[in-house]
Amino acid sequence: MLDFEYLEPTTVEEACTLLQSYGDEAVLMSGGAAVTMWISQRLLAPEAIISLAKIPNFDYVRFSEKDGLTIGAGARHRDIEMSPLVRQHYPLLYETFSKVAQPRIRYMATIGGNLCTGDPATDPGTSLMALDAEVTLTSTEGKRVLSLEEFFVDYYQTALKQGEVLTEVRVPPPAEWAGWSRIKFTPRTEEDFATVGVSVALKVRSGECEDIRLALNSVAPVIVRAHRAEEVLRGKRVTDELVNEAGEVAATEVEPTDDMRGSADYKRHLVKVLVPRAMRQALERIDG
Amino acid sequence: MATAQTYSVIGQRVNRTEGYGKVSGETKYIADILLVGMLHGKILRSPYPHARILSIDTSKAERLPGVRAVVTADDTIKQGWGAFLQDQYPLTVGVARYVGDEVAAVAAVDEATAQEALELIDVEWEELPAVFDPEEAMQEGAPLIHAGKERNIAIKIDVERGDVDRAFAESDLVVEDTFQSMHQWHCAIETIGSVAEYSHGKYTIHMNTSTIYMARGRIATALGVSEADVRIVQSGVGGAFGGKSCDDNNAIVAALLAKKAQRPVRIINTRDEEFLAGSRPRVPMKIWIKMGFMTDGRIRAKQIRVVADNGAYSGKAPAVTGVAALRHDTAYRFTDVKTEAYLVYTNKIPTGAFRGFGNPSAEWALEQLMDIAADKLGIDPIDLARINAVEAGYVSPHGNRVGSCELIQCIDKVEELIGWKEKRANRVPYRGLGMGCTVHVSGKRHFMDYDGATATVKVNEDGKVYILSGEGEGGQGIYTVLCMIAAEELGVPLEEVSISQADTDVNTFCLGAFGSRVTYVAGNAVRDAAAKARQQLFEEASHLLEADAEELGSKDGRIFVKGSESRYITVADAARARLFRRGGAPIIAFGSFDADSVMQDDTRYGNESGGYNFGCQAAEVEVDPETGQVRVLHYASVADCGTVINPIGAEGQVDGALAQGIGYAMTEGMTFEDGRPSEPNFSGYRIPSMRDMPRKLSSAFADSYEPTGPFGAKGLGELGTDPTAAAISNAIFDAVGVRIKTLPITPEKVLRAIQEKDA
Repeated sequence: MLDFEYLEPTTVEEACTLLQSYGDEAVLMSGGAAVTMWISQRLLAPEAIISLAKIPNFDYVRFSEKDGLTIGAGARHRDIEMSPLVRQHYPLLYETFSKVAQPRIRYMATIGGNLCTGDPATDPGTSLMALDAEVTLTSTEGKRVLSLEEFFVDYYQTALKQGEVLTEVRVPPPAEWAGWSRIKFTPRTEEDFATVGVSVALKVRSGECEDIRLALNSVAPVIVRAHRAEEVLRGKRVTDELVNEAGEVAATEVEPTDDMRGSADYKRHLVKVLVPRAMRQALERIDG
Repeated sequence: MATAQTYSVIGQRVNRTEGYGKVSGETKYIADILLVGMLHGKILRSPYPHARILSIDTSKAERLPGVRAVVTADDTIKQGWGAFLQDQYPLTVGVARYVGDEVAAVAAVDEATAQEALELIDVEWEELPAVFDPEEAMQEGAPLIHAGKERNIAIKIDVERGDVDRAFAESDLVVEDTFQSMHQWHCAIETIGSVAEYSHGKYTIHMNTSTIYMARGRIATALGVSEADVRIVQSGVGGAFGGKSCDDNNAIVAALLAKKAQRPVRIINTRDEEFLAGSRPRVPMKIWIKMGFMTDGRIRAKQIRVVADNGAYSGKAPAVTGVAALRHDTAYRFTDVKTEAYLVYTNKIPTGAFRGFGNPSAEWALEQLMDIAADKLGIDPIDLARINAVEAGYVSPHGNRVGSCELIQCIDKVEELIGWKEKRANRVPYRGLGMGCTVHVSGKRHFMDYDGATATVKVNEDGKVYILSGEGEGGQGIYTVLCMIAAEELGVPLEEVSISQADTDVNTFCLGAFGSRVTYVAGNAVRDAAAKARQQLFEEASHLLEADAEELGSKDGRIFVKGSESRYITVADAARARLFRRGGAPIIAFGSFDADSVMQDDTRYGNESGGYNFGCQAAEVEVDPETGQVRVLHYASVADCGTVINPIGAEGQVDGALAQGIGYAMTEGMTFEDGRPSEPNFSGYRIPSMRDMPRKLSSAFADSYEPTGPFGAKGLGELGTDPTAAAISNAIFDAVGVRIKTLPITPEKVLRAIQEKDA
């Protein structure tokens, strides 16, 4: 029998205290897109649901030249997608969020909820990682800030400790000479999870790659950053050969598994094909 | 050729008769039916693909507070039931044969209590060896699923017409290949559900079936009562597509619980249950096919061997297999054909009726082999289709007599709509064109040697017209079509016509919605009833207007003397005049129609339907050679459905059929683990959404008139799904030179094929 307490704290502090006192028996819910599905599929039977929906000012999307983009964990995917600030300064995020599932989901699901599920098949974490985003985790003890690479620990596992709430996502100010690309490969239906997702952000001046961040989803137990593939280009003059090589190298950094979206071999092949495609697209977007 | 006529209602673009209720939320679907004291039922299902029940202990579940009834096979008459073979039981008798087989059920005050009670039922199981692949199941020594069904063969079809060996010997080109089709679920937005009541020996069952009288017969058999003791009332139906034609146990189990609890009981399948044991998915088939051609492209011979996966019980798969084995011989000119088909039991979900009914599997094979032959003959595939296309007057080797037929016109229009000639002349790398043709029936004679319908039309005192029909609305738009036909025949505005809910106690006998039959068969019955009602109106009007009935006409609710239309009375005037006098009577007439078809004999010779509808489709695809991804850039679909009664509804049928065809071709497909669907949900099972439809869709209807149809109409609903998978596969071959022979066409398969070709 489905029977749980439904708690609606009105401050982050209160939420942290409740979370601390219920321990494993409680589940935190934000938009509810994942939690309600798990409950209806009987994967989850919590004693208490702690909703973050009543916490005021938890869904902001702000931008400043100095701090970059700061997003409250309660911001819905749709809020981020529709923010003119995001569209203007972070087209990669706009592109990414506008292709998550479909609007019905995007109107419900929050960015905090998405990241905290630790689901490697979802898109937002990939592009946020490519933009060097960090997350703020808040507990009764205080706050700590982690990079997304540190935050994603394993399949459906994050670095969140008991009593911690993800409260904010921050993306650094956009770099100059920056190019970006997002390829979400969904060969079955457009609204599917990615078979392979690639996000890349790079900085190229006078033909030389000054910086690059490449992240992939749906190809490993966590959303991964392909460090070695980045190194193929970093500090080098960008050539077609190097871009292709980066694809080859990225394919060695992923650990895909067989599922209904394709075999592990196929996904690895896609990484080889899609990473260079994404890089070329990013290069084309750089001004000058 | 078509006869042009001016109608006042037929052919108008009208909104659906039942549309307002649906968009406003007023339509009562199963979940909206709340009866006083209603309980909620839940079904305990077999977790094993093949297992014997050693014991069931329901005592703990019965003691749970809130539980009102628990039923097992001991509460049934242990009588098998089914559309063709009576091999399925309401609740497992001894042996469960697939994961999902109904074992026991609980009715409780709410769903959660019923669910909790299920977990308190102790079943002791003995697992039995199971078999999942039909070809393995046909081997000697394979586990036997039903006693007495040797090699697990449910039915076998073995038919030869002409002399196939000689015809192959005389052929200039012989091609052959093997193709595998797959399960496809209907994925109707509303799952199967029912609310059953029991009172004084009579069951009343509200259910979302599309065939209320067929449901009544089968449910009565399963419960061991007379048909008169079962009343089926159709609720709103949230999509059917063949999946709600009552081949599953949902309503029967609700009825068993209602009787035992003496309270109304509702059971609505969850989405997982719908995949596990709800609507019966399309019958997967392995088809080996061989064809002989003359150098000029004429088909000389065909041989086909079908191995079809029946699943654990039979449902409609026997008839589906028959269609796959024989129907296509009515689309192209065949003389010498041989078909050998086996329907084989496996320990999986029973398969059955789904839009297309065997044609999509058969055409997946045949239309690809035609494409292969065209390539080898050096003939454009669309010309090869045209060379062989049947025309009016054709009689198939199995006896199907083609009345109206505009298949060649369909091919010509498709060629034009997709720009076939120009695109083939100006090729773009990695783009290709493919096509396919199809034939379907307008109702099929198989149940009780009857291919008919009955209907009643009455005209009320205010001039409003009411149709009593038990065909029911499955979401396909038949209410609108029947109201339009009555309005046209009576000469009243469409808004003046309404139609009854389908209810077996209120209406007269109907077969219901299957086999693309209702527009043609029920439309004729309604037209007959309306014509007789009009005759009654005219008799009355002839007194009032002092003119012979033969001189009268009617339009827009007025009955007038032809030639001097100012001499008129209203339909309401005539209805009142007939009723409100001594010895008066209401305007009410009964209509009937039985198609001029012939039941197939033991050798499957007969004439399946009173009208055959045809179609041609073509796809233009673009293939990404590095990923194998296929995009459908443009799709053209043209149907010969006779007169188009409601263009909006007809266009919806074409678009919807194409969406399901694309799903079948490219996005759907279920993997099984030990007989259990591995992802029984919409996350795993992907049906196309709006964004997955072709970038451009061109559809049209042939200019056509079926003389035996109501105002020239034939069936339409199914044929649009039939050749889609083959057309797309043929286009992929045209684009990149690889042929995919197993469904679904995944990018991974396409990529592998490209890599193998290049290696």
